Amino acid sequence: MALHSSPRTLDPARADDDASSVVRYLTGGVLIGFNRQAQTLTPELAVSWQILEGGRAIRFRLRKGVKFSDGSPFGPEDVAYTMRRLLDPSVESAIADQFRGAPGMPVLRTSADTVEIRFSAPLTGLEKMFDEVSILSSQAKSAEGPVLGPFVLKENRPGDYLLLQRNPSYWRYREGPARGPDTVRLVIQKDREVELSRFLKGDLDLINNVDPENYDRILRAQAKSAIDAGPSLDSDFMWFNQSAKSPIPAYEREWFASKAFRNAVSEAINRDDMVRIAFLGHAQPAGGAVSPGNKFWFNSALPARHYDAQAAIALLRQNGFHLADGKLTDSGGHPVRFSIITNAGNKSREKMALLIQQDLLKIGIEVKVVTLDFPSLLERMTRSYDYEACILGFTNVEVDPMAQMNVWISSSANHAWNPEQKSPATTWEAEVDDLMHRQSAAVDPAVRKRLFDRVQQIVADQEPFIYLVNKHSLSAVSSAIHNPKPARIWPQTFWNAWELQVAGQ
Amino acid sequence: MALTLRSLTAKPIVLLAALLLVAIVCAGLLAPCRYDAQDRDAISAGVSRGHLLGTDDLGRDRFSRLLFGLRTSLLAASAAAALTIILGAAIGTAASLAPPLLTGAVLGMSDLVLSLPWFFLLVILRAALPLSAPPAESMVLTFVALGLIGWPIPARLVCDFLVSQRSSRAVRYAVACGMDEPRAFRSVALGGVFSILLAQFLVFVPAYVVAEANLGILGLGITEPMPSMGGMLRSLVASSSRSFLDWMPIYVMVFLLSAGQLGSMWSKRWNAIACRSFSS
Repeated sequence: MALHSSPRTLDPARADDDASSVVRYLTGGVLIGFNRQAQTLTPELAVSWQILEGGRAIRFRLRKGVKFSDGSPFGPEDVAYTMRRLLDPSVESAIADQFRGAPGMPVLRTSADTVEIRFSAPLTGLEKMFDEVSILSSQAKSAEGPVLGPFVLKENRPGDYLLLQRNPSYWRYREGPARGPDTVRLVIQKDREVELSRFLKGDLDLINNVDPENYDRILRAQAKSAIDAGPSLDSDFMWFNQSAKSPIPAYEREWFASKAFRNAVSEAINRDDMVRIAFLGHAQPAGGAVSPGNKFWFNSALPARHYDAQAAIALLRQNGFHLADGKLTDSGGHPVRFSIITNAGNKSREKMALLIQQDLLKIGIEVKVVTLDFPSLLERMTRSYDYEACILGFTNVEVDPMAQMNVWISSSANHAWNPEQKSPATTWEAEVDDLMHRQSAAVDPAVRKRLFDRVQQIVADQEPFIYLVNKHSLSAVSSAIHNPKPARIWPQTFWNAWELQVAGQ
Repeated sequence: MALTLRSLTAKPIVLLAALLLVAIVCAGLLAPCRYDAQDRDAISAGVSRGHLLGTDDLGRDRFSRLLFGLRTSLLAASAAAALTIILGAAIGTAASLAPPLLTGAVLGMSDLVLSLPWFFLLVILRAALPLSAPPAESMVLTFVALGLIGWPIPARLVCDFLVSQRSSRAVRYAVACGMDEPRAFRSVALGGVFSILLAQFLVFVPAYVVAEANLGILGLGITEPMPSMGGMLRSLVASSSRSFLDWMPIYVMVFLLSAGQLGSMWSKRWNAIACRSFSS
């Protein structure tokens, strides 16, 4: 399969770009794994674990008889070493960020086959965090030493390819029955068009993430290779700038702050057309903050969004807007018009913006679509606040809402529609703040789910984000690969690399 | 040979190009529907009675968008190219007539202008432009900026040519025959300058069309849904599935430029006319 750039590092603690993360995933052994298809936690190097003191500590019972790829034994001291290194500030590990809610070095207690890690503060979703922590050998001279994962790096030609070889010491291979492929070749290929051509020619066996147009090409050429795993965790949405720091006119800010205005705009957007035209059917209309692809956290009680331009006009009229000669004006006589910015080069988003432009024209709103390069877009969103509406999306790799704390908390810089509030500007934002803090402190998943369901309900009602679509997880797996189980979460096609079977091997 | 209908019909390609240009100018009359109207039940449709060239991936009529896009881009790119060559001709001519030191300074400045990172200037321009600026304003600013940036190349060409003509054999011969030097210089040099400028014009027009496509990434240029050659080129590059109808803007552009090259072969005629005018 292809990597779109060379890995920046082979140190698992420092892997934060896509390519490095792929190598880390395929070579690293973790204590707790995450079954991407079932979206459940699975025992890996730890056969069991216990959350203690409301998330302040976790105790692992380690699997016996596990060896590193060089034959050296795996034990509690390796876990302790890994955690100390990971949380060492000088290592600057991005993976360690998820543990930063408990500052300082944790206390580590080991015995013959257990490790207890005690943090300075409780951490929500603690077990899931260990899915990204590749255990290092405490005896190795460097972080790129022997590994515990299904593959070991055999050859590295920077800019060309990396060759991984099956690791016979991998615990699943030793315990059976999994066997896995003999080798995995990671070819450096920046151009996605070339990647697609190579896949169709048979040079590549997997493409992890395919856009809708290329998916249809694969479907036409090799129908069985095209995989649509259903809604991914990702969502695309639009929001209005409600920041008090923005230089937009006060009457515009008043529109955007009005729930009725946002609801009316949302109702006037034809999401079914968006799915059909912008995503070629490989998406579904989004109703809320969480995709149905997120099995546990999705609030299935939320009502579906319906397109109804007439209802949108009625709602606007009830709230002081006037529609005459095909033009909508507010109570002050200002014509309702605004611009939508989005990032240039993202064809789907550009199409969505143009579809919205036409949809809103039907209710008398004039929309100008402006595509900007990403740095300029970010500059307007986060520094100058000089924009009116924006279409962007979340690429979610985590199912747990803790990964979205910085979006929902009103004081956060990523609270896109009105960031860095000194105190919540509205009662509903205050309620969301409270609910998010409470769910982060709760340990019982059922309690957390109930609290986060309420957040989703508020967001669906207030629509600070007008959710548009949930893209499907599209990938490609060649017929040479047997037993693929494509998932909706990264890494979609090779999350179960240890059990993929390759024809001829 | 006089420019008559007979001479035009003797060159059918030029006649066809002229008709196409007329069609483009009359886009508003000839287009069957608005260029931004989306027929959402006919996405990427083929040729049909309602859509002569089919529809694009948003259901918009390709024929209408081609007419309006060509009109906008050719007019705007031509205006920008004209600005470039007028500036270039003026600066190049002034440099050629100036003392050598000043000539060197002007040529040095042209090198400097060529080497400046204009991309960042355009990013600043985009940042300064309000998002609500009408599409026409954005378009005018974009092409004016392009027109102002491109002058160094024609300026250098014109300057180098004029300097070389000062002591050319043709000028010396004319002086030897009794013509005064300035008049001799004008007669010989101006014809060549017209050829250079015409060739440069025909180079800059497509270059500015492509530049507009790239500037679309910055939010400059001609913004959607207003069609432009640049926008259509950008869509062509971005799309992974292309039918031959998607390439129509390219075919038309190549055709028009080829016809333009044919027209430039008549520039000798124009040069002769210009030389006689200046000589008399």
